[in-house]
Amino acid sequence: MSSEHPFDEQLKNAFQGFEPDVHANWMEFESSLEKPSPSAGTDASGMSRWAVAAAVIAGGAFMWVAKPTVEEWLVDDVNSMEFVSMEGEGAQSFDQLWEDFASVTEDFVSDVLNAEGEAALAELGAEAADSPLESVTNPTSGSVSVNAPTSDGATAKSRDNAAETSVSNKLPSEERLLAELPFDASVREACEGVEVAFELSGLDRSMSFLWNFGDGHFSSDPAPRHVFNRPGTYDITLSIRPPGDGMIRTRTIQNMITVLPKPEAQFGWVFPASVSGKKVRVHLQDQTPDATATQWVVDGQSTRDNRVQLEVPGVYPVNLVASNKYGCLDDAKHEIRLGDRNGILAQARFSPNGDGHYDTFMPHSLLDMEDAWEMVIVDRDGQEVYRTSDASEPWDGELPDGTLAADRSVFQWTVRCVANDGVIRLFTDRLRVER
Amino acid sequence: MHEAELRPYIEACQLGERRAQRFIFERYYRLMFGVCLRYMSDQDSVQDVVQEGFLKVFNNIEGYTFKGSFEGWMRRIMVNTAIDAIRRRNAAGWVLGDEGSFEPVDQDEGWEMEEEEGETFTVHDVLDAMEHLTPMYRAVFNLHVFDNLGHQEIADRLGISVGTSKSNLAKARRNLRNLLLTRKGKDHHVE
Repeated sequence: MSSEHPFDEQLKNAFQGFEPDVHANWMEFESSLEKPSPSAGTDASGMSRWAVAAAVIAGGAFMWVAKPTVEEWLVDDVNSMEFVSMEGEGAQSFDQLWEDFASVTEDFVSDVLNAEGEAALAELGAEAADSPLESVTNPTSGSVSVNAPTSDGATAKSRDNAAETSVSNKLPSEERLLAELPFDASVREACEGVEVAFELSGLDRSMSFLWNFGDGHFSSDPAPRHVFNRPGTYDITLSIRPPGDGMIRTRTIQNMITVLPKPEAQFGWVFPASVSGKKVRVHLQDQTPDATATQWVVDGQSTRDNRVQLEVPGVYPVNLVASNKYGCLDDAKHEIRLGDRNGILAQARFSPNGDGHYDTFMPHSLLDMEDAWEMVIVDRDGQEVYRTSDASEPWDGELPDGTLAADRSVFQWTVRCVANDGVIRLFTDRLRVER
Repeated sequence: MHEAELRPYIEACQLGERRAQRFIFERYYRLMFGVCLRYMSDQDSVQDVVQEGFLKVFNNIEGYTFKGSFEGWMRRIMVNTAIDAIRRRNAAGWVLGDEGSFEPVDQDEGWEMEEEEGETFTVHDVLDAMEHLTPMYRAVFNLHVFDNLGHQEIADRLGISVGTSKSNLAKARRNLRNLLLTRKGKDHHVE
C-alpha cells in the first residue's frame, strides 16, 4: 500500500535517492560475520562407527555401489556449479578416470575380503573416531569420508566435520594422513586462467588419486595442476585409494578455490581523416569493460597516454594491459599498420595537364580494393582539397575554388581502409603536382 | 546496477563468498543507513542497526529466491531490525504515541493544501522534524509513507490497533507538517 497524500509525496521527494555521507566500514563488519561453515553434518563418532562397521560388513560389495554413488555426487557437484562440461579440451571422461582409480585387482579383493573381524574393526574404528588425531575439526578444511556400503545397501558417505578412518594396520602417521587427507592448493584465490597446483601433504604416489576440481574437470595425477577458466568458488574433492586397501577416502573442501574474474581487455584506435607530415597521431581507445586501470605498451614503450604519434611507414605492436577491481590482469594486442605510397601503389607525382599521362591521381591498389576506404587530400596548410571513396573518381588537380593545383605544389593524401573483419589501416604520403 | 547484474553477487553471497558480501555491503550500506535514519536519529544507534541488518541479510540470503527486488528485500530486513531496536530501547515506554486513542482520525484533518503548494523540504529538514516525533508516531509514519505498509500490517508489526495506527499517522503527519512549516517561518502549533 502506498501513501498518496500530497504532503507524503513532498517528503518522499525529499528522500529520493538519499544516501547519507557515511563510511561503509567493511573491515569492522566482517569481524562480526560468522566464518563460512561447511554443510551440516552428522555426529562424528556415531558416523564413524557406522562407516567402519559398514565397511566390514559389506567388504568387497563396496565397489558395486561406490562408483555410482561417488559419480552421482561428483556429477551433482558439477551440475550445481553450472560449469563447463567434461567434454572440454583436455578433459578425460569420468568413467575412464574411475576405472583407472578404482580398478579391482586380485590383491585388492583379497585385502578387502580378509579384513580384520567385525568386532575388532568396530572397536578400532571407535577409537580412531575418538582420537583427537583423527578428528578434523577445522570448519573450513572439509572432511574425510569413507565410502562403504551400509547393511541396507546404501553407501555411507559423510561430509561433516569429523573424520571417518579406515581400519588397517597402518603406521600412525599414515593413518592420520588417510584420516585427514591434508591436501592443499598453491593458492586459494586466483584470477581466472591462472594455474593452481594441488598436492596432498605426505604424498604417497603409490596410491590412486582422483581429483574433482568442481568445474567439470578431474585428474588422476597425484599432484595435478589445473587452470580454472571461469570465475566462481569451487569445492575441491580428493578421493584416494591406497594400494592393498579397499577403502576409498574422500574429502571435500568446500569453497576451497575462489577464481576471480579477469577483465576482457579490448581496444581500438582511430586514425585522423588526414595527415600532414610523416607522423600520424593515433587515438587509442580502451574498450575494456570494468577496467580500473590500464596501461598501454606501444612499440615496446609503456605509456598511459592514449594519444600516440607514429611514424609512417611502420608496423606498431600495441598492447593494452587492463586490471580490474580484483587485481586481475588481461591484455589485448593488435598491430597498427601505417603505410606510405609503396604500400598502396600510389605515384609520388602527377601532371594534370590533359596530355593523357598521369592526368589524375588514384592509388592503384584502391582500384580493386574490397575494403571500405576513403581518401582525403590536403594542401600544405592542412586544408582539405579533395575527398572520395570512389575509385572511378580520381583527383584531377581541381581545387575547391575551381582552379587547378599549381605546378610544383605539394599535397598530402591519406587513405583509411576498414576491412570486413574490422581491421583498419592507414596509408599516407605526399603528392607533387608537375605540369 | 540492475538487479540482473546483481544476481551473480547475490548467488556468490548465498555461497558465503566474502568478496560478494563486501560488494553488497559497500554497495547498499549508505542507502540502508538512510532507511534506518528515518526511524532513529542517533548515528551510533543507526550504525548498530545497519550492521545488525546486514548480518541478517547475509545469514538469510539463501532464502532470497530472486522473486521481487533484492533492494526491497534488504530494506524490509533493515526496517524490521530498526523497529526491533526501537522496541528494545523503549521496552517500557514503547507506546509513546497515541495508544489508547482508538477513535479513527480523519487522515486529512487539518490539512490545508494551499499552504504547502510550492514548498520543498530537504532531507535534513525532514529528519530534523522527525526527531520531534515520538518513536511510535515516527515508526507509524515511516512504515506507512516510506515503506508502504498498510494499517493492518503496521498494527500487526507494532502491536497496536488499526485505529491507533491511523490516528498516529494522522497526528504524525500533522506534527511533521507544522514543524516543517514553522521552520519555514510560518507559525503552526505542534502537538
